[in-house]
Amino acid sequence: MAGEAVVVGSGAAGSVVAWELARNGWSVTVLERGRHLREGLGERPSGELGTRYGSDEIKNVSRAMGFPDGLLEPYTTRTQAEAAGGTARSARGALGQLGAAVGGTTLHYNAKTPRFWKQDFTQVSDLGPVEGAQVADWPIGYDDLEPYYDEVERRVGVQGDIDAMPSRTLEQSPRSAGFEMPPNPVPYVRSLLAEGARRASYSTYPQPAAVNSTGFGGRPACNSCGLCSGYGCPINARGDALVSWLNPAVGTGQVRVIDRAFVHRIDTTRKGHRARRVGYMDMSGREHAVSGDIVVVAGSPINTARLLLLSATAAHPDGLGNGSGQLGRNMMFHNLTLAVAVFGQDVHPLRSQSNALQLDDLVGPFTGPEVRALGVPYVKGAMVQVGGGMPLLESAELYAGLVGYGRAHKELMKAALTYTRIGGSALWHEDLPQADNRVDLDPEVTDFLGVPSARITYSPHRHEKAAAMLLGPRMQAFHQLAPGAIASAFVPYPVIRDGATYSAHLGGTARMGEDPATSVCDASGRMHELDNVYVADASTFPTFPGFNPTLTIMANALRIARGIAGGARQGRS
Amino acid sequence: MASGGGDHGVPRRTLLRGTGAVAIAVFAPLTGGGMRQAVAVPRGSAEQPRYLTRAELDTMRALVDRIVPEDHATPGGARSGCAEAIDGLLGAFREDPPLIFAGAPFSDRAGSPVNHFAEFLPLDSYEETAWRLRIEGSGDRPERAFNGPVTGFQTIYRDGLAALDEAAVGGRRFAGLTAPEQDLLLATSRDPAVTALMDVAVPHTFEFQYGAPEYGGNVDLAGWDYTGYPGDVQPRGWTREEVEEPDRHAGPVAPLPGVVPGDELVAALALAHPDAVRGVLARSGGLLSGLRSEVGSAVAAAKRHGAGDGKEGGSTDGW
Repeated sequence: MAGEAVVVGSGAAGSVVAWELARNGWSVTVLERGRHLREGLGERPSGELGTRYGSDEIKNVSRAMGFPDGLLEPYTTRTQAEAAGGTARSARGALGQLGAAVGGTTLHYNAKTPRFWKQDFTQVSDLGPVEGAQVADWPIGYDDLEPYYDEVERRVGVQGDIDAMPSRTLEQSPRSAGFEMPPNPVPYVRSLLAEGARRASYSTYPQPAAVNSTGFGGRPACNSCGLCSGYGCPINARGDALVSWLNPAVGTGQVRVIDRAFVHRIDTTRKGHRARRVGYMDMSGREHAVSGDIVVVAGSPINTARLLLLSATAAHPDGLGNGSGQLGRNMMFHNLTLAVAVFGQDVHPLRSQSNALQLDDLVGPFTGPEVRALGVPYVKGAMVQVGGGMPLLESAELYAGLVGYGRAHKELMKAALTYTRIGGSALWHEDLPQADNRVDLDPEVTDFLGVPSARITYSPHRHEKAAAMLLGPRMQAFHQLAPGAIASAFVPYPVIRDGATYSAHLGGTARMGEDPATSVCDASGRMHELDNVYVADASTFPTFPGFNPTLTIMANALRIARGIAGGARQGRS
Repeated sequence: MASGGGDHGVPRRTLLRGTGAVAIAVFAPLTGGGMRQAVAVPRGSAEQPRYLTRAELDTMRALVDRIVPEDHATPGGARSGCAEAIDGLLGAFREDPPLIFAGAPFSDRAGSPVNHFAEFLPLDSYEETAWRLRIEGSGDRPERAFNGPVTGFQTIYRDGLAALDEAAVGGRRFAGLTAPEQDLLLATSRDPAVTALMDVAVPHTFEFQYGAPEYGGNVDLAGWDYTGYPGDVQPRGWTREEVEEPDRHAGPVAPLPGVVPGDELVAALALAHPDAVRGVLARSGGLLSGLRSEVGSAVAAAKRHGAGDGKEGGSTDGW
């Protein structure tokens, strides 16, 4: 039965929810703290929307258009050790790296869309517990998500090559069909690194990506400009949440989007069983409220947790729906281990859709004696994105960190290494959930409206450090084996830093589970303690496998929204 | 008018309003050879800076030439317009739209007949609040000091440039020192005003030297010429052949620069990943001192774990 819904957040999850509910006759209000960046939303086909984005490093990176402002809406952070020592915070600023715009971070995401694997949903059953971590099975399995993966891929338009995918990848993430489009051209540097991988007995394949390689959805093919992650696509070749879901949803006339709406409270009935309305402030601090039959929270893990914690009442003293004490806990990032090959020739790594190859040989789990010697029962690594370079201004900032300024800096800039002679790769570490990695409300720091900021306490688990030390050398090895490579290195961030690496992949804080004592939401996304409040974003993920999460965020949000629209509760099939 | 700065002068936006967007663009001086395209740049000039005084702009020009030094073959930060561009940032709100976000989607350097970058984007009130706070600071406005006072770029530059002139010995100003004297002063100063200045002036100079010329720097695309950087390539992009094949015309590559030990350089290059650098920028706040700390710790760790520089000389303790 269709009703009225309030959706908080217009990103990968919120856009999908708005689309599915609108399609089923619901009236939907979407509240978004960012601004409209695509002129014509809801009025023009997705292929004809305007854009404020261009291939402009100053605007997109240095000045972070489309991101929350670190002065106006700071997060604060600290490590677990700092928290134990009584440090209130050790950093403050724009530390989450997710965007704030209508369409969310997907406006400038890298658009890589691997699926999670079957084994990721049954981790504690398969591999047992890990000391100091709260590893859990998901209340759903891969089979529950598979039809939604299919549907999302068809709608956003995914390129890939099923024939090139390793058999284990296809066993672990079976597909009922191929991809909407063939892969983009494989860039030269990636051919070299693919050969290095082959020499190391690994295999690579074109990474599935929501990037047009042919015309699709009224939008053109990617022309391999190379500026993807962190940049809006100037030619509209990327299948983001706005063009795929939100724009058609608004076009139905069933959905309104209110931008620059700073949501700070979900009001509940006196006994606390139902949400009554969602309160937000506009830029001038004026209070507004929207009521609906249901509230769907989709602000991404840090902001979803912050909102639910801000909504504490007498009936929910520790935050809305936090009887388990798990709300805000299990904050997970994808830490990075990086490797690079330096070549003796120009391999122009920026001429391509960025990071276009995937390598799955380091996903794991690894359980041999070399792993147990590191003090953990197993290591799960991640897929590796193979073979990127870096544009000029970011290179200048990196070199500033290395040598400062002056002649040495200019000589490094003249050498042009980062866009001519390197192929760099990233392993996006699976991050085990920990109770002490958590979002809470900063006791002093606020946003510009006076609302408490989110504070993130985070340190990687020993598992992530072990994974970095086990797998980093293997990454370096296949880079060194690439034809023409003259040097190589790896950087194991989980070992270097006791804090978060802010990799723009966020999960956890409102985990799904069957037991209300140990989880915040049930398998349908509904909060255990509330009749009409759902969480639809990556906050619900009980674990955070080492794959780009956006496709799974969209698929899970579609599953949750369809459950709401159909009125059905879902569980393990 | 000796002082173009402060909040007391007549705002240029008032003077220019009604004269049309074209009036706010002056053409960059066409100096030197090899320029690809003259670009209309929204910046002040030596004669009429936006925020700094002419004397401050002189000091600024000397400073950006130490950050990006001129050499026998290539211009430095001063000739590339970095000082005027920084002045443009400090006076960003004297234009309408403010000089914060260049337009979209294309410049005219790669196939578009129109340079959209040249017309800056209007800000919404959130963006204006954020950038006014960053540039002007919280001053005596308590509503801007919700997390304590914020020192704006204007104050950091004004105080820092004054400190440089005060530190110059022998009755000279900073710009009157020789380049080695300037380098020595910058390297040895413990004045907090100078430290704060360099924390922002170094990243800003690099932005304008190596970023899109519409922001006022990178005059004659010097920063893209001597680095061989193609700049923004939309909407042309790259062809399948350009993506898949090695460049047939590419000449031999130079040895790795010897300005830093090879293993340190290769370790730093492992960080040359957009998502990793975003993390570095977030944690460092984009400040020079933060960047040094962030990259330094990563490079030290990578060296411990075996960064190698293969066949090109330098230290090879990892291989």
